[in-house]
Amino acid sequence: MTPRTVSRALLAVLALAAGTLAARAQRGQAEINAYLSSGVVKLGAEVALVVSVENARTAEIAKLPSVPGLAFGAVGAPAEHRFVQMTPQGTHSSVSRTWTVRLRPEDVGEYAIPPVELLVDGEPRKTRELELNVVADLRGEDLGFLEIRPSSSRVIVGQPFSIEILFGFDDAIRDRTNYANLALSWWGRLPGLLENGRPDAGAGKLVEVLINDSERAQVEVAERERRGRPFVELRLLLSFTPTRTGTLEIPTSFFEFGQTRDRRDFFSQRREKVESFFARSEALSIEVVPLPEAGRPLDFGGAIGNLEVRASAEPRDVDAGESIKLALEWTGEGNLEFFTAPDLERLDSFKEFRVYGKNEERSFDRRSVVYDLAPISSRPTEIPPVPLHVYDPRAGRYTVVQSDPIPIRVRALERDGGLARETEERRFEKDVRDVVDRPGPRRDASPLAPAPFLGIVASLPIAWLALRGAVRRRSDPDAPAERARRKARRRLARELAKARDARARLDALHGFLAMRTGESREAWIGRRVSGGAGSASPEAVKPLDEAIAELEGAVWGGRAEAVTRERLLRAADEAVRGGL
Amino acid sequence: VSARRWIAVLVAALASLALRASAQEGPQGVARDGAQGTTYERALAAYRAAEYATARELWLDALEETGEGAADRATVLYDLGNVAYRRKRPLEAAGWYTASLRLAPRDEDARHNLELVRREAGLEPADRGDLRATAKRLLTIGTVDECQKAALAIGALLALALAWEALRGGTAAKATSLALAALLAGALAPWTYQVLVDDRELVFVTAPEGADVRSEPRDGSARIARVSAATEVERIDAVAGWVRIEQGAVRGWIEREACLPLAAPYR
Repeated sequence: MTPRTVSRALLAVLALAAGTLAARAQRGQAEINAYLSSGVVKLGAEVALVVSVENARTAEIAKLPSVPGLAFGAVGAPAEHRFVQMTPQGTHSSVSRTWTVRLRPEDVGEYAIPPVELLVDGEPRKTRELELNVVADLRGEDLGFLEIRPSSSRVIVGQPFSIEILFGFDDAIRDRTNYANLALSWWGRLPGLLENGRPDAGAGKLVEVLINDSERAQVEVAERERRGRPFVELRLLLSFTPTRTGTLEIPTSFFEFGQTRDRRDFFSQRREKVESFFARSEALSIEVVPLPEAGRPLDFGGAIGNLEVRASAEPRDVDAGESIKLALEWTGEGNLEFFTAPDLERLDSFKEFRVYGKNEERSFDRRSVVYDLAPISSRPTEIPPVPLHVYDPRAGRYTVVQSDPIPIRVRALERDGGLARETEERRFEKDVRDVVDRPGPRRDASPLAPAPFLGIVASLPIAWLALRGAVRRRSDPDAPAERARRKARRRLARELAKARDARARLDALHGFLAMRTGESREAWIGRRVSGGAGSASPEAVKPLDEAIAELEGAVWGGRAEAVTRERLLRAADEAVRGGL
Repeated sequence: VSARRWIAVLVAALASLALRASAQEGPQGVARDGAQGTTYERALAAYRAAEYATARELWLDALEETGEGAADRATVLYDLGNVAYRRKRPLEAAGWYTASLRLAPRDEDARHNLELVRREAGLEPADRGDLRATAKRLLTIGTVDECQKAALAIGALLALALAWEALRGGTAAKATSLALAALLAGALAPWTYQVLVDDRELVFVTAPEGADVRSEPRDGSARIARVSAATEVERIDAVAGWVRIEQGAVRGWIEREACLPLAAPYR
């Protein structure tokens, strides 16, 4: 065997062994591990609980242990790392999942953290037990302080209250203190609270601090003496309105301060803590109780607190019906954003006014309402006080806060009372129209059945077509000759009315005969009707022939004639009736 | 001469048919109780005295009266609507006004009251004002009887115009005939809609919560559907206490108390 052959065989054996080991590892049980980022921490500092699972298809944290004095943070999504391994037996992949849970001790002592329960590939598994030693940061307690002060430990539902957070550090370490973080585990998690707008910080200097290492907040900074030494004091004021009863638990909070340093390397830049101190505040609770029922006015609008009101009106010298802007502004400690402003239309004292509407502005520290109202007569001499029922938590009873009356002058209009009439109209009600005193007689309908009715309607065109056909078999009444024949009598009357002598009357007669017979006018000159007018009877046309003869004698023989228009029309009518 | 006779005969026939159509049936008897007056008058007196239950019963009696002196049904139905409204039953009132409008479709008072009570009952307006509602209102502008009389009157005039056109011809005769024919078609449209399309006996659901449709006319039978309040459904049968209805593919029974007939008998 050559050395080259030996080396090839050795490589093959090594590759096979590596593949076998990898495959065995792949086929083995999932590996579970858990550890703390530090076994000893200062009170107030956070420590990370790291749980990792390898070689599992599925894994999740089923339950975190509960340890009195240790606050566990939320369990987020795991960080996943996938590995792909290629062996002679094939390609194998594995995945590693890592959870990081933040822990914050709330008291000093040695803590035993029970195993974390997991669900790995559908089977329950547990990590090992861990130990954590929490020691007091005596130097931090000496160099810093944290105080959390609620405005009251017992508040009414709807009553705004404030929480003042005072914290700071010794002025001696000011030069080496460049960060401040408030670890408030209750921040944003107190149930049933609405946060009001942050009150103005005033004229003090502002600096920015961290809340829970993530959020930034502006706080007032001042220098105060504490413990006989100068301290840098920071102040954050929060205001809330409780919306339901219960107890608000504010657990132990911490103020972390110290020095950080920026660290840069080729890949990144990050800030790391060089020196940290911790100061803590004691846990406290606030009780939220309901509004008392005893003595609650019927028109109570939900105002709670110690309120004041200021009223102004413009203009104050008006005509009846002219608009006045009444501005009311409530201030003080109370739920100024949430109560219902008084409805002036429901107040008897405003019966002499018509209220058109109101505009409201709400803010944390004031409530402004501008009413648009008009006196309906010249009687009012002042704008009456506007009462607001308020529950005073300090006095423990319902009180009335009302504005001062505002003198006004209302001048009467010439037609005073117009607005009052309109006001009455607004109170009109809608109602049904009245019953009928004298009903009409019963109109019981008995319509024809549809079939005979439709038969009648359908018979109309049928009858028309039949009649039309029958008529047109004889002659077409719509033909020009037939229409001229029908018009002949009217035309004769018209022409005779215009005729001034015998010749004109004779011409009119010839025209009439031509239109009745369909011949030309000239064809009737010197001709008698009885001799050539179709079916006309000789007796019927005889008067017409006599009249024609007389007219021809007058025209061509110079004889006198006495043929009047009426005689000619009578003769023409008789001839038409006789069949002309 | 013979054509004129034919025209005279045709006109006389149409006139007699129109007269027959408008003739009133005259059965007998209106309850008159001496000095107290007719049933209608007693109902009116009870209404004025705010005795609404009595007024309702009397007006229901008046609906069943016949003969000379019987009050107009549409008026009585309208009055019953007012009674229901005064008894705080806007849905029932809406039913009565709807029934009244079927007999007197141009009664503005009934229409006003119907819209008012529908608004109070939380229903949408009977006349929504859209194209469909407007078309339906035009097609129900008159009763079947009124539409028929109008059509017969116009038909008589059309017969004259057609005879004129047949005997004399001419543009005027043709134009008159065409105009009258169009008028006749306009009068026939509502008649056709009401007789051939909308000729159904309806009931109006007056129960505010709607009515269960049951498979048989008894309380324990299966509920197969539900009709909402103010729905108009077709009545196809009735037994004591129950009305058989059909709507779409659903055919079943609803309680008589939950609905109001929109045509006689109203009890």
